[in-house]
Amino acid sequence: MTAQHQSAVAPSHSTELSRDLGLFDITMVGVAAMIGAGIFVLTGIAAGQAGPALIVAFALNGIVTLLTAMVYAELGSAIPEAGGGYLWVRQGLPGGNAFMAGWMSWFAHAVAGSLYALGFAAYLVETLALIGVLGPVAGGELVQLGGMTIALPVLEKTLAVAIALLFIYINFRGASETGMAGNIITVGKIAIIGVFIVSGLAVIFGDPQRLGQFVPLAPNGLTGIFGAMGLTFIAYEGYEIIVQTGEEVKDPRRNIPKAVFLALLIVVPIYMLVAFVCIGAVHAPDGTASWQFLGNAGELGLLRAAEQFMPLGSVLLLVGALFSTMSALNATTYSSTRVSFAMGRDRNLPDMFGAVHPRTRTPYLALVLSGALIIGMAVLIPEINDVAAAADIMFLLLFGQVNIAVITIRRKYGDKLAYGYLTPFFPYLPIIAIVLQLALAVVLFLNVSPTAGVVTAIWLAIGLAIHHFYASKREREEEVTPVLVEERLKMDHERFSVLVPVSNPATVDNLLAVARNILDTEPGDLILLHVITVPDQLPVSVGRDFIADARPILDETARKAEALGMTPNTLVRVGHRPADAIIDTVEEHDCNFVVMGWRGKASDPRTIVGSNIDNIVKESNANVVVLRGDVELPARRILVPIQHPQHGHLMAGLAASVATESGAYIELVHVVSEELTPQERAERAAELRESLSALDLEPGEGEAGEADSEGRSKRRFRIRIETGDVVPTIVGRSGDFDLLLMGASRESWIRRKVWGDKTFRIATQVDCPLVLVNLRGGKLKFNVSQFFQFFWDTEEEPTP
Amino acid sequence: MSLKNLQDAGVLLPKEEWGVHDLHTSVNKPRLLASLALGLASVVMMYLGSGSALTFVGAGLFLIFMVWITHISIRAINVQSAQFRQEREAAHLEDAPLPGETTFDD
Repeated sequence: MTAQHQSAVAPSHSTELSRDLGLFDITMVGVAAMIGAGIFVLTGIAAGQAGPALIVAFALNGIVTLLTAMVYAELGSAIPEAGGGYLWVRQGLPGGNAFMAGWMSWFAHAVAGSLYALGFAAYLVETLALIGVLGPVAGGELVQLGGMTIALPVLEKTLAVAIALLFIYINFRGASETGMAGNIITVGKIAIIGVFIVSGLAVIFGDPQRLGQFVPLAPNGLTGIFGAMGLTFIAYEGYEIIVQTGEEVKDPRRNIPKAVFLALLIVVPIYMLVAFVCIGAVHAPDGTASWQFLGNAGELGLLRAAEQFMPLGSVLLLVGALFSTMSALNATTYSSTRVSFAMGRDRNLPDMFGAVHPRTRTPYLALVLSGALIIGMAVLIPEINDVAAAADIMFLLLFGQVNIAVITIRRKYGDKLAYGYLTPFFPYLPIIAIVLQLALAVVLFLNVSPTAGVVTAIWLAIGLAIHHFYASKREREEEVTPVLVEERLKMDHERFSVLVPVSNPATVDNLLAVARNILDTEPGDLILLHVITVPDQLPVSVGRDFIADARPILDETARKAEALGMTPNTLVRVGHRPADAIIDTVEEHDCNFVVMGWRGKASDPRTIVGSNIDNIVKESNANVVVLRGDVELPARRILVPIQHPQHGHLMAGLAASVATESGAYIELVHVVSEELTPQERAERAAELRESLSALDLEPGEGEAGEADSEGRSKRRFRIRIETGDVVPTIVGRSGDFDLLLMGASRESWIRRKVWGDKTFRIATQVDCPLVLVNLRGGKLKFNVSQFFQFFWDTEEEPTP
Repeated sequence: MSLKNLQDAGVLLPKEEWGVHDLHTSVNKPRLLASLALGLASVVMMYLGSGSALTFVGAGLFLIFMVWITHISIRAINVQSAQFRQEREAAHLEDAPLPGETTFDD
């Protein structure tokens, strides 16, 4: 930005974000996160799964990771915020996805912490044995410690709990206290891995016969390779840390995506080289294959390898592993705390998660609960590979969500963001990534660790339950438009109800007439709603100042409703958008009908009746009746296009309710395909006629029906089965009528995309007065439609 | 979530710049396809080699693939950056603040 421009836009008291990190810095952040505890703890376990094909597993993981890394490069460059994946899912996916992303992220980071705590414990036991503090007891899993005999698994779990408690305390004191140590550890562990690789390569090239240890390459077949891929996937997730630094990076649009790719370029070959030297340079003393030897050593596999060919191998590897697992445990304790803290602040979890300690300024309750999760999983999940698999499954699902989110974010906000990188072959590469990640999660569950699958399934089920019964309600409390005045509302929510939003005195008569006729056919409650709107810049509390303005129109409408024999319930809400207030009222009172006016012009060209009504139709599961401003009721000649015969009863009933009491004529037009046989057409007509049998209508052409006992002519109806194009047929017939009453039930998005919305085309072409009716569907259908609508819709512009 | 959230986060482009930028990737697609083909082929070679020399040739090719795809991606980032600048200049918006260059109130 130029200085001139900056001075023009910046207020006098302003500060710029400190952007200190360059490309090298953030690349190293990513490398440090990936060349961490994973390589020390997981290499041996994964070698036991894949055999020498561990090298193939690491390569394939590199490809899978690259696909998601592209997505991270794109989103990290455009939305460089500390929230990373969780934030993007909040932006890009509807409903409970953000909650589940946070819930999974919390678990994934916490269980990764459990993995590193257990890994630390295993390496500490080895260290204690090396320095003679711990003595072996022959013939079992027992060790001597200070004169006590103790079971090795118990000792390891105890040490894991102890180190987890230590890091909970360190994080409580403040993460900055470990910053310098973290930098030293990073440099140290990369150096140790470097020495390990060079030593191993020297052994292999000194004795090329050792390459024979790669035969057979995949003793456990593809299943073993895929299992190892799933187990070690967590090792490559460090690129997530790069995008988390976004707010402190110089030129983030260029540097973040570059760092993501450069970090992978460094890390993937290092993992492959580690696998190569582990398999090639190790000589199993018990005569087994080197991969079996490593697999049997489990989380200590790398140590056992280093003992054989690396100078000071035991000491260096133990030091490297202890510091790596400690730094990783520190990072995951911090990150899991941060996720749960953010969820507390976002009202997804109880407020106590968002509490900050007055002295240390750390989110101490989130920390304690995250620590409890880390310790609980370390203790409860029996084997370390189950712990790793549980964290892996959760990260795979989380990355899957991010891959979906990138598709929606590009569609909804694409041209409004400054991208530094755009994923190629979009959206196919993200979709392929999703499929591969789901496949890996399934392989982990089925072939590697059913225990991990069950644990993660239980965690997800708990998350869904919490969201359904708790978080979704808290989210709604946050978003709902407040009610300012509520009068006479002693309603039974189970009872039938009609909501009439009132804003224009000129249209209330028609709205009340329709409402009364609906309530005549189905007795229930009438709710009159007036919405006070305030601009986005102002808090909704400002709306209280305008209650007095709302009174006259609401009182006048209530008087008119009483004159029509109804007992109205009145409600005043305040919000930034009228549609939100109406939708909130429909949801709170479970309204069956919304009857509203429309001035007759859509300011938003993408909608039939303007974005307000369009949003109400889409987002509230109620029957919505919309009366255009030119409607005069009651009408004498009404044309009713019927899309589905099963809607005939409701549509004809509605038409009857807005028709003159005497001598009205209602024509139901059902346009069918020309391919329908005469017999099929007759069946459709019979079905429609059957649906009208309960209504007080008389079949026949014209307006003068048979007179009743009071001398009034009965309302007549006719059913026409037409063939051809729906739009011109209805537009052509509408010229002879006083009113067109048309269903606006939504077509599938594919049909709308290809053919355009029929309702839209008819509504914009007819000249006669128009009433639009949107019939509500079943709850499941509505929820499914809401979900897909989210992906289809683009965003409205925010108020400047 | 909405545009307002992105606006509050300071990551939205200025309104006059909406729709100005091309959303087609600047990645060279034929080269990317070729590199991905090399990557997959190298993994297949590693696997089919069954521990023979072919496996190690495949591993070597995979390392070449990693270098190549990184080169393609970084080149695309540079092209994207230049293209972004050109699009701003064409729309006479080169002096407008970008997300990340804005200042924030105390």
